[in-house]
Amino acid sequence: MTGPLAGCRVLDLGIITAGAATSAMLADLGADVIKVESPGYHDPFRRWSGPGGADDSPFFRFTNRNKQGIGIDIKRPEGRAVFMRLVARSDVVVENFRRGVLAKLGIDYPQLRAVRPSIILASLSSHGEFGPDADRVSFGTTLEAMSGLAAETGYAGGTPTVSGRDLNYPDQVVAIFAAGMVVTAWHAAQGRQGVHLDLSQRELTSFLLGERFVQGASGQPRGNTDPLYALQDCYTSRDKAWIAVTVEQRQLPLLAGLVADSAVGRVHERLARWMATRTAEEAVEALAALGIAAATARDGNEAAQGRGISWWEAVGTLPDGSLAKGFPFQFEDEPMQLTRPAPSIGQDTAQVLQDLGGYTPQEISALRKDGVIECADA
Amino acid sequence: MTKPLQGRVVLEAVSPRSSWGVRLAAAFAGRIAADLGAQVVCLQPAGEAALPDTNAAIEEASALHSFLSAGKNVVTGVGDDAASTLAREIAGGANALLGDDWLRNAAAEALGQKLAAGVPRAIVQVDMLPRQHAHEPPASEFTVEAESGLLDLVGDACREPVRLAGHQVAYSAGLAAYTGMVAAFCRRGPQPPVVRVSLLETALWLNWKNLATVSIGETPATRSGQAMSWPVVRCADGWVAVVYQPHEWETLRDTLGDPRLRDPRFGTPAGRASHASELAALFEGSLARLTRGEVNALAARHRLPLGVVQSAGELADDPHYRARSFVRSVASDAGSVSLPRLPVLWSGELFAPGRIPARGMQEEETLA
Repeated sequence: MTGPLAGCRVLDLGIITAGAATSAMLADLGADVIKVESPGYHDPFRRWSGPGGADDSPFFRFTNRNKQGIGIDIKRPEGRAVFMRLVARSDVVVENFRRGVLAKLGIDYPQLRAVRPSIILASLSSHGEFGPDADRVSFGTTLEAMSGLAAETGYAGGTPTVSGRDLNYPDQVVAIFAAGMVVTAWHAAQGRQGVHLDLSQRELTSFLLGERFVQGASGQPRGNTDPLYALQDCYTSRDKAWIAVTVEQRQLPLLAGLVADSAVGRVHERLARWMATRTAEEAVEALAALGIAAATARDGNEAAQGRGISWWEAVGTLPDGSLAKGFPFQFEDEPMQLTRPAPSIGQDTAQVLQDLGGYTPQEISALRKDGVIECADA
Repeated sequence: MTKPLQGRVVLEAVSPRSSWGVRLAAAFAGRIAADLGAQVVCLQPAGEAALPDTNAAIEEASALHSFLSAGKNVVTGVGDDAASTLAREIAGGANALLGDDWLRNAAAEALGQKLAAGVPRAIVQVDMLPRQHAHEPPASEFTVEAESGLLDLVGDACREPVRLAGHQVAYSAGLAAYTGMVAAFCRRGPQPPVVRVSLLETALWLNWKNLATVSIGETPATRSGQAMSWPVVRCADGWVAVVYQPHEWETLRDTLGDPRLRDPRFGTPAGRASHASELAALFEGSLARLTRGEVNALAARHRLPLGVVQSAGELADDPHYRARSFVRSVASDAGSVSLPRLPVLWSGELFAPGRIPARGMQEEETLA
């Protein structure tokens, strides 16, 4: 691999989104990422209920590209020994299991460090490694509620609102942050010193609302307004689209002229009436001509149609032509690329055990026969 | 503990003409770098866009300054030409530029000139939209959220879409900017790597589930308010997000104890989805007698992922956050301020936010 993390090897125990997406971003940056699944417990994302049927859901394929995939039953002593042999030749382990699982498997940080003192262990969890809520079961939506975000989101004076499972916001942002922390640790240590990164998704979601902690916010949904702007809301166009509009203080007189009302207090009402007599395209164009930010609220289909026209990186193309998750940032000179599709179960087990673990084909065959490892059918 | 970015110098600056989205993204990335030990010099050229003349705007700007400037050296009020000159001078001793195209144009050539060869360097350019054209349309965080499809996901189906609170799009781009910057530090070459971040690409990346759904020709999700599978309902002293997976349904049903939840219509995920509003009303009826504390205890006891709604103000005293020292009291000229620390522990060590510089003050020692 090439890229900033070339030479960095990552064992990816991540499942579903948070951990798996963190490792994917490390792979995009050039790390050699090996996804480790257990024969008895494959990544649940492979068979996620929702769009795309049962086999290797599109969510799995979008998230796990650019990785190799192996199968080891770490619950068994023989499997743990195989895993630890790989750890001894790796730089990073990423996991987002329930707290306590690593210790039960005998692969917690002290044990990883015993075989690889420079190992970086990134532990992504809902609430962190310790604290009264550390063992609480949570999903992204739980964390939106418990972090302060839901309390502030929603219609003014209305019900606190969550983004829901279609977005699961905390699961997405943590991957960018966690990858950043792993890269920071890798950069700082230069392979000399290990570290255990305790990454709490609830804390990150709160951190993304940091100014509200300064204000000691009591938590009231504020609708679409933003105190930094004179006016911000959605308005319906004649062709029944929702148009998002943001008006800066200095733009108020211009807007008042456009909607033919100089009474600032009534601009909101007049803008709604003005919008209702124009198509979305006409309205956005007229507002943009005044320097006012306006855009149609797109649904998923409309947003996707902008690929290659108004955006390029968020979704990428694999060598086989299929689409997969792209990049939230990009390098100008040596762009990150999608080079390989998500691995099938045990696709690279034999190769990785041979090349990295130093196992002979006979040993690999015996491990497979005993059910310690899982290999793709030849 | 030596902080991981100790010894690195980051120059953070945007043009006064840059939108709030770009400014907040760069500032957020800079705050992370400062917490991790970098010396972050934040150059704020004179001429910012005027804020609305309201208390809410003044309070918001002040809170943003406290949160985003902690631990930085802030240089304010420098005129256009002087700002460019100053940017070049500071860039000469800097490892990274973190800002917009104005900063890149002003200081890219000077970046790291006073540093030894082979030291890490990075140029991070943040934009609202992916590629700048001569007539780039005006954009805000809100309109980017609309274009990315994120806005369409939140709110009631019959009402206008509603944005995520705070500055989620800008801060997410800030996360991307930080990660891009430190990744660039890992590269060694004659030219500093240039990292491009746009709020729109980041927002679309966050919305990848919908884009994946569209890619296989299926119908993308849209907002469904209380009809969504995980509604937010009232309890005795607040609100609860009723989150559960299909395998947790029976536990939830039995825990809440309302016999009407045993109605066969609710027996399958599809049935529950079809009667989501009715189900939400039943959840509310069951939870109305319980306080959030009692809901928390119930959730912990039965291993249910219910989420009580807490505000930022309440979280400062939350026992879990206290145990993890997450909300810190930081000194500022205006007195003590509550700030969340960086949400990572480094082998158990936390990174406390640095002091909050006074607003509008020029840092003499930085300029010296």
